[in-house]
Amino acid sequence: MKEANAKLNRFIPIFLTILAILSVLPMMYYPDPTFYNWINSEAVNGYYWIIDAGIFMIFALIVWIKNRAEPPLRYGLMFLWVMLFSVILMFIHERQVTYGSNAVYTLPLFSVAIFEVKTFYDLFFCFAVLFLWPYGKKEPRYKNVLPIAVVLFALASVVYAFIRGRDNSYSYVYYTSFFKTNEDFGKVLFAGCFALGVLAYDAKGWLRYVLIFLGVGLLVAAGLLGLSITFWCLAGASLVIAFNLYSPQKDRLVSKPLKWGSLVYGLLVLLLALLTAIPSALATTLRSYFGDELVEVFSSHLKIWKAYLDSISSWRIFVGDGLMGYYRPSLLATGQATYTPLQNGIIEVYNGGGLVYLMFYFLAIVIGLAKLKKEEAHQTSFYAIIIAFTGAFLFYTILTNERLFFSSNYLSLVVAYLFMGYPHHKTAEDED
Amino acid sequence: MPSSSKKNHFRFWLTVYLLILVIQATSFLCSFYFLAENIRNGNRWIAFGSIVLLNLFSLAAIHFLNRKMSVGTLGSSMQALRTSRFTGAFLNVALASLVSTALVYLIDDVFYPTLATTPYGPLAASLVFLGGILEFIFTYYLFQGQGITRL
Repeated sequence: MKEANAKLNRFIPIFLTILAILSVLPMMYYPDPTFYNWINSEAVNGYYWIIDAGIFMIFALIVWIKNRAEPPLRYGLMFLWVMLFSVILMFIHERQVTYGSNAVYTLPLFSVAIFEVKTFYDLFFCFAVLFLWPYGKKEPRYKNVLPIAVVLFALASVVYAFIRGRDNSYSYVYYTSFFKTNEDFGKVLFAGCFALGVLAYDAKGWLRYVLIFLGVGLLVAAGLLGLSITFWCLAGASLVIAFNLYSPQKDRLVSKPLKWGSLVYGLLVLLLALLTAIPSALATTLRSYFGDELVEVFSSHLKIWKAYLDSISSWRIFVGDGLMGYYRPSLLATGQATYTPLQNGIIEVYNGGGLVYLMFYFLAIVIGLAKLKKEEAHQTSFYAIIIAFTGAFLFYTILTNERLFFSSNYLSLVVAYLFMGYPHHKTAEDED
Repeated sequence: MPSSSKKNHFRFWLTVYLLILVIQATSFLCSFYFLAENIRNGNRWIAFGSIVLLNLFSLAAIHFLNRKMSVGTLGSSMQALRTSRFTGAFLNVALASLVSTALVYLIDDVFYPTLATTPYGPLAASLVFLGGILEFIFTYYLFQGQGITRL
């Protein structure tokens, strides 16, 4: 029985790799957009998601039952209550709205059903990340499968981006690689860098330096490809890691070249930040690579957030607006029911269940952090890598629809696995 | 006192305690909501004043009740609840959020509907979230009890 459980737990990273591939497929636009158009069409998209979520839930339930995993009572009660709360919200959230001169808009039943199922799935996903994936840490044989796949995909995307070339319809540097937007491309690069960070920690000797070099290479590529959000997220994360490596610590895995390299690296990033910020001819050029995308995305998304928050009032302030929250701003502004993604993970959580969901989201992150600290804090460098990249990921949560623990999107899935399911299992003795 | 009578005694005071706590949390959240509506539109001063008054009364009541529930047999019976204070605090805010939804619906949409000309969503959402966090912290420490039974 124990051997069967060990095999099952060993399979967790491989299963998550399959799930990551399933989540990345709907993002692939080039070289041929036929598949993208088909999979994202209204008729297919919902069913594809149901199959994806169904596979995940079946596997998670098997892991749960086989391991007889029981979360501590207090967390179990919280999840149970949030589930019950979600059921109550199904009856509270509006499905019909009157706008303009007494025109009525009713949400399609299928869309409402998918939205509600997605809400419950996100909750279960969070439960799985917090309490089921950590079982994979006990059997770490295949722990590197997902990170390696993520790195290879990121490298392939960078190579293809340079082969395909720049999209000239934008005023700033804009590369999309395999994807329709450079936002998805940036996410793939970010995931690749995070994975390289943990793989470098895990590697020995010269391989570690090769992986660090590749990580820095991806960071530079993010800059050259005009992915400024990714670039500054990665720069911020790597600065934290560099600071940790340079500071006096007992971790014997940190060598002298690594320490001095991190100091030089930190100074270079600071120099680049200053050169980009201080107005000059050079700064203008640098901004087209390191700033324009960030400004463009932030200003366009800011309008969406404002429109959404201005559209909610009365009791919806406490419990969010549910699916109607994606339509209400466009209904009030133009009279047309257009689905408008909220482009902010935190606002999406708030829209789903208001104050309670938002608090639960932050509490889940606190629970995750507490578990991580308990298990990994004694491995200072590993802990720093995980915290730095996850902290940078929260910037993505603000600017896009990614949500830590509450989303099975490609980037959220990879970050959740590396945060909660990837064991360090690396000691100074191993290194020797 | 026989044990069944003791149990009933505890159940009665626990019910009163939790009821007052939910009223306190609800009035706290609602006061933030009405404050936001007042700042933007200036149309809910009576509702805001009444709800703040209710909050002050319930705060005073919860203070005395907590003292009562921290001593003697009531205090020892409360230990089970005190160990789950994290969940308790979260449940309190969640329940208060639902009751607030109903209360605001009654005031804003049923009994006294007035036209809010300026959108107040961003301010109200921020203030209510702040209120939720403060209430969570307050309840968490409240559930620790007082005196000798404090955890």
